Amino acid sequence: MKKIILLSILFVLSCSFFSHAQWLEKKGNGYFKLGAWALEADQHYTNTGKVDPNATRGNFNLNLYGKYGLSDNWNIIAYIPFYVKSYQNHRVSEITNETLLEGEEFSSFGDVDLGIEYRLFKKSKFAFSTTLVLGIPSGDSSGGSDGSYQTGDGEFNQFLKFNAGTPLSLFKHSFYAKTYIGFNNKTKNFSDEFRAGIEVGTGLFGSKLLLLMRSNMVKSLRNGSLNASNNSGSIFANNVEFISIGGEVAWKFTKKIGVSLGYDSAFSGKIIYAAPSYNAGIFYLLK
Amino acid sequence: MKKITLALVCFLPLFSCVKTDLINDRVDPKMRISNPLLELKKNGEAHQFEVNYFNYVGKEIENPTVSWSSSDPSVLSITESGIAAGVSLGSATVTATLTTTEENLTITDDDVVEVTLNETEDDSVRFEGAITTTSSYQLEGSFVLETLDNGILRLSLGDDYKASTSLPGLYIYLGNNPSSIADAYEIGAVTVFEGAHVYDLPSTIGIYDYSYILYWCKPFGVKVGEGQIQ
Repeated sequence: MKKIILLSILFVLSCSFFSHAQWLEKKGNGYFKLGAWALEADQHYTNTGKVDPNATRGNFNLNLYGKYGLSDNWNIIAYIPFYVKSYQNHRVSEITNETLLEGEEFSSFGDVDLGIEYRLFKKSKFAFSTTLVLGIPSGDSSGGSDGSYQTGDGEFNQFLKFNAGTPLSLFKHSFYAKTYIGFNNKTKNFSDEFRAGIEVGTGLFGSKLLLLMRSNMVKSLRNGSLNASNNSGSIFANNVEFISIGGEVAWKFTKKIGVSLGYDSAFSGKIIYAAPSYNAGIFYLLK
Repeated sequence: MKKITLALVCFLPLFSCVKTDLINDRVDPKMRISNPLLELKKNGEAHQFEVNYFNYVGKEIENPTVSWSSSDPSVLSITESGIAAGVSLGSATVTATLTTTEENLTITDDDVVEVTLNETEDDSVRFEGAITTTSSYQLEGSFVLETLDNGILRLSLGDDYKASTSLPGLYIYLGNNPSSIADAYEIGAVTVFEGAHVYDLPSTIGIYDYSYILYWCKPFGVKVGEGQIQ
């Protein structure tokens, strides 16, 4: 359940960060963000999709996200969670005030995502690109006293996705819409995943204020053999699934610098925390 | 907004720290005669009755103050300290009574004893029951808890046992509080998820020592299933 949960969390996270760049950055341009992300949950979606309680667990990270235009057609992407903390609350009897289970926290470097995006073509109002993201197992997959405070999943995965985007005009106002579908090839007996997402946004006040809503989903292909029964009782689990919805608001207080606040939450899922996550960040536009 | 965001970036770590979850782990206090008898020989060796007492959070309290009585002292006599002797042929009920110090509750346990001319050899005790899920994860099956001839206490799970393989960190315990494993005995991590299997328990554990078999997701501190030993 744990890793599961952590993985999903990190994926939701990466989805939200990767969605910041509207289109490919032009050559020499870039988008960089220092962010914080937090989630705390006392319940989770089980493998049947129902919600069960758990001791309150939390995850927090500080991260750097960057996207840079090597050319008008090629961008490089990096997501670096340089401080990841996983923790669990103390459990105390309200009858005797005795501690039933000591809380714990563990922090380390997290799993880094490195990616490259290529513009497939741009025609009329539509833009198409493809992105390959490599999930580097740079985090700790067995942190904490029982190995359940992971800051990474311990496996190298390759996520290939296809992106499409277009501007829209609704009620005499400009919007944009983006979508992607992708395949995440996972290793170490984890099931591969189908992923998809959609995002709609708009700019206000001369594009100083950006509002967006997004939805992401992960569907396990259930072709991995990893489970609790063949993993020596490890907490690492497999076949995480979810559909999340979220939003973000960003404010550019200069032409190059701005801040953002975001929210994401899985409204259905399997083996994932049933609680919202929050993020905040400061971004810099290189032009 | 800049200040709000900066504040959030700075303060999110402060909120993301270990706090406290309060758990209501109260249970009804329970007392059990830990060495009950089926039979006692008339004019034979006396038997020292003993009890296990578990308080309102399932914690065992050593040397509780218990009063003893016999329903028919002419058949079976018993002293204030719980020493019983067979007086005449017949049946009598031994009752242990305890008043809890914390809540001033009176709890009892009974043992029906037949006073005979000769004690039979077989006094084995065996508990049967069923494991049921207390969560959304699959966990079910029958169990038997029994003392073998060699004195080993064995917990056997039946052919109908099934547990979800999606459960991370699933552990099995013996406990007296279904809401807590703080004072429970950890048998170990679950490694069998379907079919019959057994756990042989240490000789320090008696068959009357625990009231529940508990399945717990240890890392997440939540009960997944239980079976009542009775």
